[in-house]
Amino acid sequence: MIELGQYCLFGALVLSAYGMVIGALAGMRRSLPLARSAENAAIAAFAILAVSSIVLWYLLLTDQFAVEYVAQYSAAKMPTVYKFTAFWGGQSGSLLLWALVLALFSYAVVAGNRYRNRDLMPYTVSVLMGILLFFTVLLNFATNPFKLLPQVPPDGHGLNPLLQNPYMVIHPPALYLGYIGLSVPFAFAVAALMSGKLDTSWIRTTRRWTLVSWVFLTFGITLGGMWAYEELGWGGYWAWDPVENASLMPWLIATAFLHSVMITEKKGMLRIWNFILVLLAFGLSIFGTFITRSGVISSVHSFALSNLGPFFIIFLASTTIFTVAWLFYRSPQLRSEQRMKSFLSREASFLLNNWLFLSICFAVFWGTVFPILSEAVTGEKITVSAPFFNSVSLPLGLALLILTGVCPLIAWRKASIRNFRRNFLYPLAAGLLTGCVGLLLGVRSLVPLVFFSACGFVLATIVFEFYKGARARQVIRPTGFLTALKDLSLMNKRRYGGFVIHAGVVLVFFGIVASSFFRIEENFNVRQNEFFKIGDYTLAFKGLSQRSDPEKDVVMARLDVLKDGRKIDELQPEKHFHHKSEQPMTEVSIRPTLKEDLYVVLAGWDEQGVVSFHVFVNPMVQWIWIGIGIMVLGGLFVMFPDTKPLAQAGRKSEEEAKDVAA
Amino acid sequence: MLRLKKVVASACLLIGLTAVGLVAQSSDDKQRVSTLTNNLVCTCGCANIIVASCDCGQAAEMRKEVAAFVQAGKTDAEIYEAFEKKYGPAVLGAPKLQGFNILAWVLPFVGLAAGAVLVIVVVKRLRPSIPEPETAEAKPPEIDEKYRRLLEEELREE
Repeated sequence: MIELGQYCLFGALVLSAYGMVIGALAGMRRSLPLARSAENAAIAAFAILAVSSIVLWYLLLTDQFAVEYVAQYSAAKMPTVYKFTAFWGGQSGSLLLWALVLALFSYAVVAGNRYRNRDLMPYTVSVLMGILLFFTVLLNFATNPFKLLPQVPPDGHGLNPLLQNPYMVIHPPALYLGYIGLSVPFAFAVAALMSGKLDTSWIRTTRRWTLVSWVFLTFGITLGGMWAYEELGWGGYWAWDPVENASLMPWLIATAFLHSVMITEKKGMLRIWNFILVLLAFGLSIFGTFITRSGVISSVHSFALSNLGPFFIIFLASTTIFTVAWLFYRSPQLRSEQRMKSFLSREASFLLNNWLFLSICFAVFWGTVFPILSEAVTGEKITVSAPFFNSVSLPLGLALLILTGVCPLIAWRKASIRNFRRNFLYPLAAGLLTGCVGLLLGVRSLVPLVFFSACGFVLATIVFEFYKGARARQVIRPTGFLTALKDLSLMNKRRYGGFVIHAGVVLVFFGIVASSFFRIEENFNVRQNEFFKIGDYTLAFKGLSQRSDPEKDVVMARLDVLKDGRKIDELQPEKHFHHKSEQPMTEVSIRPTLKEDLYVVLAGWDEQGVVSFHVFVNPMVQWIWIGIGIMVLGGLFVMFPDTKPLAQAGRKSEEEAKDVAA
Repeated sequence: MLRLKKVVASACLLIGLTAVGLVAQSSDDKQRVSTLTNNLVCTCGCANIIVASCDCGQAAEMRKEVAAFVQAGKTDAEIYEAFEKKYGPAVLGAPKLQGFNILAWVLPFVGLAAGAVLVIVVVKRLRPSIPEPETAEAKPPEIDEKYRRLLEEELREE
């Protein structure tokens, strides 16, 4: 069984090397049989990696501790679901997951393009197989999941208890789907460069791939944040940890790319720029995998330490050089097709958007790598963490938020000052009103007030845009307002889905600002039946108790939550002592409401019966999750396939519009 | 319209000034401890989590130290220095504005500025060398018409 897994891994290596070479050859010779052969190699690579993965799953589920990976990340008594997810609990398993998903995506690309994009496909397959080759080389020679131990241990180490959590079942695969999804637009982009078919077909073909990746990245990053919030017990959801940053950077670039492709598609501008963005997004997703898996920068996430560094650096460097060289070679053919009219045009506003996303990405990148750099130069180990990132991202974040409101309202080509004023008068008033409401509600510091006003402003621009659009539709086609709204949204899903995403972004900003500026935290040392107060809440400590299960001993505290003298809830924060791990684990108890989360950590206790609690009141945190939920829904709405009748309706109303215009 | 702008501007200014005043008033010892512990990083090894919220014994100890320093009337600078001496420079959550580490702070904004220059250059280069004749600005009632047309154009492009 183990041998089967190993042979399959080697087979995948051979197949991906074959696919890479033959694909490129097929492209150069314009040979269909060769191209089909490369495509078949891609399909076979997927099949063989699937077998290999099934073998690993089988080994994990049947407790075959002779295999080093199984012994390291699984244990006999571990719940079955975590034996299953232990697949991506460590380095070699998660790299196998990478390879498996990439092969699956390659298969999907091949299946979807058997008769389309024939100029691009041979090169696309070649590039995808090239990436797969890198991962299969790692799996075969650097970090083999099927490596045997010299002696069979009686039981495994078990998955890190922190990772034995429902969020961790989904978070890594979701993030990986996002990361790996970015390989597809990258492969098509490189194929466009290599084949010389430089029109926008690579962008059109991969639009959905980029969007799907973006949705998965958003979802994956959020799950990570929720996990940190509920499992790590420090009251926050984002620590600016290198690994978190590594997942944020490809997201930022993918977001910039999703915006800039619209200019290229519609106006044929910024073509070189899109190539650069897609290369950056792909490179950063590889960089993210590298940081997570190499532990170069010490971080909570370095559950897996190893020496993959040189492999990744060589791969990243050669990919970059290869792509940039092609880009340079093709650049004379990539001039803009159209001219830009002014700084007040939508093209320019998209540039501003890209500028901010890239600046933020650069700031995050710089802060993430700076400790290594500084240590290399000055020999002193320093920290670059939340205080740095918060201060740097604050002005950039505000600018981004404001542009979220301003940019979509700027018309294509050129906006006039007058329509500018008409567009922004009401939203500005709404923003100001939000600020005043904040002031009345007791918000007394400048920065949050400015942010809240900006949130109000942006939200108003979005509502206003839907309203005006629907009214304009009603003029053309007299229907009810809601029907007009529905037709409008369905006719240009990208535009109006985009607005929905922006509305989600506003809520996320609101939640982040409120929870960072107005959080209350305090430590309390109390005895049984004593009370303590935090925010609007009074907590009564009712006592400690203990329970055990085969995996761990648990100490839990019972607390009554009182508000205005009435008991409204009970909380049970716990400490877990896993038999297999030395560090006790905190199990936070949270009382979430839309207004604020009451977040209680059982910090410790002594022999005299004094128990200490670390308590947080985190305002508006739930709005972050809600906002991201809306962003994901907006993304799904954009992707939602066109239904035929609607497309016809669209065409019909176009004709009607022409009639009106005539 | 101009009057409205003035009103808006003065209202903003007023709100800003009140806010600044109110912030200044509310800072007391507790606030200081909170700010300080938010700028220090726990050195327990559980990755760079700030002292204010890290869930470990070491952080609890460090919080007590900060509170003691504040009570003793030390300035923020003195407290940071004392911590740096005791725990090493890695205890500071953000690099100091000193020597090589200035780069950490400066470069993100250099990047921002360089990006701005690039955007301006790109827009300038993409603008036509011969300015096209300005289209006459429509009167307000016609703008709705214009908006409608733009929207239709927009919808068609999808």
